Amino acid sequence: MDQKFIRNFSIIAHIDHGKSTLADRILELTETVEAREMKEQLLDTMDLERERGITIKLNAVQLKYTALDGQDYILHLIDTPGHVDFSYEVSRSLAACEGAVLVVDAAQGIEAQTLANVYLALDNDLEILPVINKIDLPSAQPDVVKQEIEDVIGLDAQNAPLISAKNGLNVRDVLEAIVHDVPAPGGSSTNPLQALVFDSFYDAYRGVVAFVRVKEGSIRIGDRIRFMASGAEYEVLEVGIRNPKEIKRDVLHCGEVGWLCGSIKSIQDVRVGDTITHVQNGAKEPLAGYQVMNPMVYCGLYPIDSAKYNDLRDALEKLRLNDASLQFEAETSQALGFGFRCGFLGLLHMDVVQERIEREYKIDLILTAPSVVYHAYLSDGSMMKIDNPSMLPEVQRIDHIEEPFVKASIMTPNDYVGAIMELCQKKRGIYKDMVYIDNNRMDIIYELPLGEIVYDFFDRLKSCSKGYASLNYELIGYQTSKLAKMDILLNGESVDALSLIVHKDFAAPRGRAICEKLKTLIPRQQFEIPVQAALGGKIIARTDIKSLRKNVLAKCYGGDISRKKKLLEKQKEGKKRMKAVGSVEVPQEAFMAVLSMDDDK
Amino acid sequence: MRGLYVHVPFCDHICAYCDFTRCGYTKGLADKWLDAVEAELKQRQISDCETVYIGGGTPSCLSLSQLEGLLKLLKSYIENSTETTIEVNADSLSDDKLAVCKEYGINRISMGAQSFQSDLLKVIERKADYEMISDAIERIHRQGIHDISLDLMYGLPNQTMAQWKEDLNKAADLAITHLSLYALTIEEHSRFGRAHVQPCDPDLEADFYEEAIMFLKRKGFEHYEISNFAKNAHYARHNLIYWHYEDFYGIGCGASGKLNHIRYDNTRNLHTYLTEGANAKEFRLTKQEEMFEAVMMGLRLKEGIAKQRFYEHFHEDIHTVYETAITKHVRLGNLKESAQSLKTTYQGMLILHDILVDFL
Repeated sequence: MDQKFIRNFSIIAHIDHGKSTLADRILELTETVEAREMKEQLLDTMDLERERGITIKLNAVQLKYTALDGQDYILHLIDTPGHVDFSYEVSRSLAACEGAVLVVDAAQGIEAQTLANVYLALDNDLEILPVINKIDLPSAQPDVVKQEIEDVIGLDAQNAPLISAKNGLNVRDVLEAIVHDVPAPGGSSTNPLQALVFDSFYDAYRGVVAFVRVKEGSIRIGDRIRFMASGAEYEVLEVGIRNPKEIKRDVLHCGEVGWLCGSIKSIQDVRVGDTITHVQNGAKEPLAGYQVMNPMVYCGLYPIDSAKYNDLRDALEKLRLNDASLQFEAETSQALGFGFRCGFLGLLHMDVVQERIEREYKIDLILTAPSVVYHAYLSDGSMMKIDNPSMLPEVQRIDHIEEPFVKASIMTPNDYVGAIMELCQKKRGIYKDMVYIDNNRMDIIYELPLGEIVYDFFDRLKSCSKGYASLNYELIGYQTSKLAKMDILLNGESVDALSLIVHKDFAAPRGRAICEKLKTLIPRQQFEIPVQAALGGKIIARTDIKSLRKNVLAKCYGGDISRKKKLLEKQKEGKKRMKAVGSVEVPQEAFMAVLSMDDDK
Repeated sequence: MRGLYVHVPFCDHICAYCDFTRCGYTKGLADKWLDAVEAELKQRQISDCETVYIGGGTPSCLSLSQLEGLLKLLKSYIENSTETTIEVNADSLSDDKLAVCKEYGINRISMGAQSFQSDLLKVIERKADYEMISDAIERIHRQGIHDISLDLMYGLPNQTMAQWKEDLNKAADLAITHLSLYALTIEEHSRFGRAHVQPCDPDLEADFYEEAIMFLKRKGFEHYEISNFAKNAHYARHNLIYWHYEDFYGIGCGASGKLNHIRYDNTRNLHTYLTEGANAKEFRLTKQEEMFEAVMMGLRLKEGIAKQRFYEHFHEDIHTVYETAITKHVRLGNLKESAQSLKTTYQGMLILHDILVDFL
C-alpha cells in the first residue's frame, strides 16, 4: 500500500480513562479480530495485566480501515500503559508514531498522567487528537472537559470526538480523525534502511524478536542487517506484523510497524532504541534513540533457593530485553547470600518485575525494602552514591547526606486540598504552588523527598482523597536532610537486608511500626526473638516474638498417618519459602515489612 | 504382631468438629453395611491379630441385633486377641448392648465425653452429659468390663481454664483407667470448618495442655503418649501397634490398613462400599517413607523409638539415617538419644510437629 495511506498512532491517557477499552473497540470496528476471539483488554496479553486490569507493556497491532470516503488505510496502533511507573514504555511507543489519541475521561477530566503523557507526545512532535470518553456516564461533563483541555493543555478540543468506548458510541469518529489529522509517515523506501527497535522479547525457539518501526528503506527476509549501537550482524529470517496474532510477511516497507527475528541468541546485541540498518549500503547515522530512564528506586533481589542464582541472572537479562529501564548488578548480603541490586522506575514496576520472575521463570524471590539513591558526603570530601542502606559508612565518616527530591503535581477536587496538604506536610513536603484547573479542581505543587513517595505516599494520597487525587512527579535534584541508617536486629543480630535510611525526626515511630510488623510476619519459633530497631547503635524500638509453645498433632492413629504426613509436608513447603537469618527463620514477606504498614498506630 | 481395626461409619448425630467418614444412622443402611463387612472380612486373609478395635463413627449406635451381628463376624479374631476395644457414646450404650459386648469378649471400652460443660456440649453438638457418662461407667463396671478410657477435648470455642480444670478433675475421679485428651482442630470439612470457627489462642491451648499433664500426673495417670494417659500401665495396646509402626488390618468403609509395606485406604464413599465393596486404593511405601512414618509415630511415645526395633524393621541405624535432624534437635534439647532409644524431651514433645519437619 502507498505510504501516504499508512497511519501510526498511540493511545495515551491517565490510568483507567479507557485506553484499552478504546483499543478493543477499534479492533472490533476494523474487524481485525473476529467476534468469537474478542475478549476484554485484548491487547493486554500478560496474565498479570488482565488480573490487575492495567496495561504494563506496550503492544503494537496492524489494522485495516476503510474510511467513510471509501479510501483504505493501514493503521498501526500502539497501546500504552498509563501508570507513572511505565512512562518509559509510553515514550518508546510514541517515537514509533506520528500521532497520539489523547483519551480524557468525561467525568474526571484532566489528571496528572494526562498531562505527563501529553508532554511526552509533544516532545516527540506528534499530532495530538483529544477524545472525550465515557460520555455515557451520568456524571459526564464533556463541555467542561473540552474547556479544560483548551485551558490546561492548549489544544483545540471543540471538534474532539465524544465517545463511549464501553458502548462503542462514536468510535468511528476517532478513526476518521486519525486518518484525516495524523500525518502519513515520512521517509522513502529507496533510502538506506533505518528501523527503530522500540521493543523486543525472547522466544525460546526463535531467539530475540525485535519490534521495529521502519523509518527509511525496507526490510526483507534474507537481508543482512546490523544493529548500529552494538554492531552485531544477523540475517533476517522472518519479518511480519501483528493483528494481534503474528502474521508473517516477506517485507516491511517504509512507514510500517512490525517485527523481525534472525535467530539472535545473544540478548545483549539487541537494545531497545537502537537502529537497524543493512550491512551493505547501510545508513550513515542511527536514528535518535531514547533517553535512558534512570531508575528511581532500588532493592535487593535474592533467590530463596541460593542454587537458583544463575537462573535469576538469566531471568533478569531476558526481562531487560523488553524492559529497558530495568537495571541490575550482583551484590551479596550477609543475611541473604548472593543476589542482585536492581533499579526500578517505581514500586509498581518493582512489583511487576517480581511477579513476572516468579511466574514466568518460577524462581521464588526475596525482595529487600526499596530504597532511593542517597548521596553520602564523607568527611574527606568524597561522595558515595548509596542505593543499598546497608552500604552507608559509619556515622563518624559522614559529613552529611543528601536525598533526592521530586516536584510533585497533585490534581484533586477542591474538597480534598486540606487533607492532601496535611499529608504532604507530614511527608516532609515543601509547599510550592497551587493553581485552579477549573472551578472545582486544583493542581497542588509540592517538593517532596522521593523516599517518602516510594514509601506509602501514593496509597495515602488515594485514601485521603477517596481515590480522586492523581499524582505525577519528576526528579528535581538532591537536598541535604537529617538522615541516618536504621538497623533492624533479630535476636540481637543486625540483619543487613532490613536496614533502611530514615529521617531522624521520624525514626522512632517508623522503627516501632517496623518491629510490630515483623512480629506479625515472622512465625513463632522455639525461642523468644527480640525484634529491635537501632539508630546509630542506640535501640529506639523493641518488641518480642513470643516463643512457640505447642505445635503437635492432636491425634495420630493408624488411619491418620497419610493425612498427617501431608500436613507436615505442607509445613516443609512453607519452610522452603523462608530464609534462615542466623538462627531465625524469616519468611519472604518480612523483608518488605517496612513498606506495608501504618506508623500512626 | 498385628492389629485389626473395624470402622463403623454411623452416628446418631454428627458432632460439630468431626470430619471422619461417618453418616447418620439408619437401620437399612447399617444392615447392608454388615453384609459388606462380612464380605470384606472373608476376602481379606486376616491372621495373628493381637488386638481388635471397633471404632467409628459411633459403634454403639448400631441396634442390639446389628451389634451382635458385627461381634459374631469378629468372634474368631476377638477370641485370639488380648485386647478388644469398642468406642461408645454414653447416650446409645444400653445395658443389653453392654451385655452383648461382654458376652463376645470385649474387654475395653473407649467412651467419648469431650466435655462435661453443658454450654460447650451444646456448641460441639453432643448429647451425653456428665450424669449420663458417670452412670454409663458404673454400668460398664457392673457388666464386668473394667478397662475404660475417656476422651476429652480442650481448646473448644470460649472454653475457660476453670472449665477445663473442672473437667479434668471430674474425669480423674471417675472409675477409668485411661484418658485421651485432644486439642480441638478445626477441620475444613467439619461443621466448625465450614462455619469458620476460629482456633483457640495457641498460648491458651498450651496452657490447657500443660495444666492437664501436671494435674493428671498428680492423679496417678502416666503420660505415655502425646495425647494419652494411663493408670497402672493400662495402655491402649491396639494404639501401641500404630505407634510402634506394626502392621494392621483396616475393615469397613473409610478404614485404612498397612500390611507388608503396602498401605491401603478403603473407599470413603458408603454407597460404593455397599455396592462394590472395599474398593481399596493401595500404595506401596518406599523404605524412606516407612522410616519417616516410623519416626513420626514412634516419637509420640514417651518411651520413644527403640533403636533395636527400628533396626529390625529397616536394617538401618536410625542415627545414621537421620543424623542431621537428630543432632540439631538433641542440641536444641528437643530430643534425647541413648544407646537404646531416641525420644522427645518434655519440651520437644510440645513441638513435635516442628521437629518432624526436619526428618522429612
